[in-house]
Amino acid sequence: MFEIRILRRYEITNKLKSSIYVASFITGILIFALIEVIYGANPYDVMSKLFVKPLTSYADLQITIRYAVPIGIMALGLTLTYKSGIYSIGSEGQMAVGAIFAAWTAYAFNYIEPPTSIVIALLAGALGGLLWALVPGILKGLLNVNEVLTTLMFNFIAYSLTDYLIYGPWRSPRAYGFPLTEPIPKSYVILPTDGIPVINISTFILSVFLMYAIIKKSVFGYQVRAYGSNPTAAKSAGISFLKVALLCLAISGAFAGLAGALQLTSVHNRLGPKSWSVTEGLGYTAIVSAWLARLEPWFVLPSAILLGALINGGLTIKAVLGQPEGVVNIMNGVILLSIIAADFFINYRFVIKVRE
Amino acid sequence: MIDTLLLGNFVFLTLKNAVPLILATTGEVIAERSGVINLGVEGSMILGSLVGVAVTLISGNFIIGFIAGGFAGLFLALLHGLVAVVLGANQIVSGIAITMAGLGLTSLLGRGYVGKSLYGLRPTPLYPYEIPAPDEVKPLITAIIKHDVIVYVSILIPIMVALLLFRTKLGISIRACGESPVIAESLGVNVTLIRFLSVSLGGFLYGLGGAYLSLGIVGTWVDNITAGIGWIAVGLVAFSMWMPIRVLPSSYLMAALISMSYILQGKIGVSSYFLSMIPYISTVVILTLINVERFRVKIGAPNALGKPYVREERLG
Repeated sequence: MFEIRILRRYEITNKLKSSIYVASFITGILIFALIEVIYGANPYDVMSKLFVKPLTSYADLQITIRYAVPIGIMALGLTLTYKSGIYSIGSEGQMAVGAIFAAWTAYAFNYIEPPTSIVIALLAGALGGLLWALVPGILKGLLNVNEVLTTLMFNFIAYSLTDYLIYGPWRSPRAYGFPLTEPIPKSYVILPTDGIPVINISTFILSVFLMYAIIKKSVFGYQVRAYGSNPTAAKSAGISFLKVALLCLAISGAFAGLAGALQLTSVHNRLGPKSWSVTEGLGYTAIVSAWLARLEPWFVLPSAILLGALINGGLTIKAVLGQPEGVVNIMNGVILLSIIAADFFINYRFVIKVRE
Repeated sequence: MIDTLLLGNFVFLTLKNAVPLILATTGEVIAERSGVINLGVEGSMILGSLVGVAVTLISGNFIIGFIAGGFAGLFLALLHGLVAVVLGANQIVSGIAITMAGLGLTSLLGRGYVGKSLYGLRPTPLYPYEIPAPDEVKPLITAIIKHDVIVYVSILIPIMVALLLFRTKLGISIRACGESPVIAESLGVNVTLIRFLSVSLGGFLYGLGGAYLSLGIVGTWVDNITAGIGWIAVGLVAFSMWMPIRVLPSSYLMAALISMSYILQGKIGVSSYFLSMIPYISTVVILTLINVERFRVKIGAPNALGKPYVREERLG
């Protein structure tokens, strides 16, 4: 007879810890690949399209970055909120509103020249995302209203708001009947320098430094971490929960709004309905990216690039096999499940004893 | 004067729209009573919705499709049970992941079913005949009587769950796991097993709710059919104060708000896109109100809600 016992680990080496994480991430990808294979894809094709092509070919690397940058910027905002024990899933809506604010700025101030115009549009986007996160933040801080649900409801409201604009007042008469807005003025479009999206990449890297400074070097970051590890102690130490909740959500909202403005000005250039939307569901992938990075700002850099590559590869497979957009969601879900399940193997170990 | 036809239409829609909410919210009450938050409701519902349509088309019987939808919801809940209950992972993140997976899976598998007609296969009214009643009240009575069997059965589900939770030994075990898993374990309750069972039963109900959404309400499969209903159901659990019987009034209230957003389209000078925000805004308002009134303190959430419990042993 076998007997399996679950024992808590009291010590774990960093090497073992990281191997467990990497193994769980790979497990997640393998499950996703398995789903694709069951669906009829060639396994060799799936693996090369997911891992090799998005990171090796020059053209594909650009597409990878196109996804990695917004995912990363939003994930940075989420690392802060998750560190405080607040589970915002509102990046998607905040990103959408960021794009709306940036678009409005571009239409209203079409006479401003770059680089001022770009800076204004990005700031407007950040402001939009911040405002969108404000209500859930205030409700969480003052009344402890469940932020998972409120931020998600605001995602749906943001979708409806976008729909209202693209089917209503902002609908372009020259879009051949499609519900799209006019393209934003040329002075607001971010173009890559020599084929490299310099502004996008540098915004991302600057955001990493900024978030690192907020979390690790500021008093506020310390307060956030205090709430994350022990809310009761943090409260009795006199740290205001309202301040932590409100600022965490506002900052993550601003990051998401910035990502939305960046995607609008550099990729999409107009607002559109679901399948052509600025957000493309990346607000949800950002959640995966934040957890994959173990809520550490530095690790968001590789995690966002990895997920960007996976989305790029997933979309290639999707195009080849004629699959719908939602495929990316399966990947998100499966990888997220695998990496949080890893915690179990870090905290516990199995001992198999043989009994007579 | 109230337009009786309009009122009848409104009541009819409300009774129908309440069914997925009642089923999903009751399911979540069971899971949360055992101490597990399952945010995979939306994922379970949407998979149930698709499987409901697919199996109805194959079997030619909506009851079989409906039940199959329940098992589809249960399947995803099992994943949550494995990751969040057995492995003790973060319940919130696990649920979010399951919802993502459910949304993706259905958009992949459901492509062949988009807009496919369920003609002749949809649930039919129990009493299909003309109702002899005076004209003034006829629309209202028709709106209440002319429903399929599931609408009436769904009213019994919360009552049955209330009996399960408060009148059976299993129910006491479920609630004990939600209040204090350590004490429950010391009294000989297998916490992991009970929580796993509760999550599975919850998942079955989400799946049923999702199946009714496609079979009974929309009448076909469309991508993203749930549009947040599952999340709203999670919100209604707190509004119902974790009491199965209270799920009925809170679901009917939310269903009335959802129906209102349809009925008012084109009747008042507000864009339909703003009307479609009503359910989501109402959910935020409701969640806020219950916290203002400090109901949470009086009839609180289960004590151990959201706290993983892994039974561990030391060797020697």
